[in-house]
Amino acid sequence: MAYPGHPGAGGGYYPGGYGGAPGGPAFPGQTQDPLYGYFAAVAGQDGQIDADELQRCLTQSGIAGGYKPFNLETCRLMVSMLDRDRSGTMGFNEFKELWAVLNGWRQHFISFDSDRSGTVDPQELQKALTTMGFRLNPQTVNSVAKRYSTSGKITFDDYIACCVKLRALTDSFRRRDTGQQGVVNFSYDDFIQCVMTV
Amino acid sequence: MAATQLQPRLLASLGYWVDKDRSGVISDNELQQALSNGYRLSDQFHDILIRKFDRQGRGQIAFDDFIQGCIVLQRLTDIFRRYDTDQDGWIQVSYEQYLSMVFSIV
Repeated sequence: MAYPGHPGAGGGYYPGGYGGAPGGPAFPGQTQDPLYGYFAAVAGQDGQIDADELQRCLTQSGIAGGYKPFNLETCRLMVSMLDRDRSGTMGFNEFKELWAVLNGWRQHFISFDSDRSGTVDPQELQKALTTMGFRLNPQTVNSVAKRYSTSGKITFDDYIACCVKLRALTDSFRRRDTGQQGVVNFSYDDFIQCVMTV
Repeated sequence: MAATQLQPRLLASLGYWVDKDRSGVISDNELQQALSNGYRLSDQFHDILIRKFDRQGRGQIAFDDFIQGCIVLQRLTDIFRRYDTDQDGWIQVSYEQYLSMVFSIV
């Protein structure tokens, strides 16, 4: 069973899950990593950042490029996407993972934002999601596009929120798909829990 | 009842009914009591719900977040029921079905 992911995943099943960024324990040279500068500037003694701090971090780093910086709700989603220990915070390694993923998604968005307006229309959103490998039925994409549109357009920030939710839902489904069949049996309680933790 | 049928007065009554100490926020206890009417959910689920909707990180849920939570819960339950054709509390779904079911709700 192949699960889709970030642009360029080619529909392959990816074990780490995020844009090729290394996971696991800290690596040598961490303090020379330019990303570490942004991170350390907002993280406290515990070396963890919450949604507020993530927002500041990402804004300072300029990853949004010419686009408006991320709103707090999107940052909350990003923390929960990577918050495996449910602490409500992320450490530097998760931040690096997130960074790589965001870059991938941003490149993808740029390729669809042909007029550099910082927005895409619903059809472009559908194309963007499809080319990332997500095969959603048109009704679903339609209702998602409607939900996120402001005056018929979807902003970069909302597109990221979309991507984050898709990633998180994919992860939660995949964890339960122990037989790798692409099918899961859900009890009501588990179904609700699965979705609510996104 | 469908989310679209929730009238403003009903929402206000709902909050009034749940927020027993009239503090303007819904505590963990009040939420547990409220959700035990109609939905059978585990304790673990209550923790998850609090975490998800406790925007201010104080172990309490503001009224509008509570309403959002109820609406999401209702919509998810509706869609689960639609797939649970034999009504045994279990569904089997493919990855794409799963995404299509929930992505427009969360």
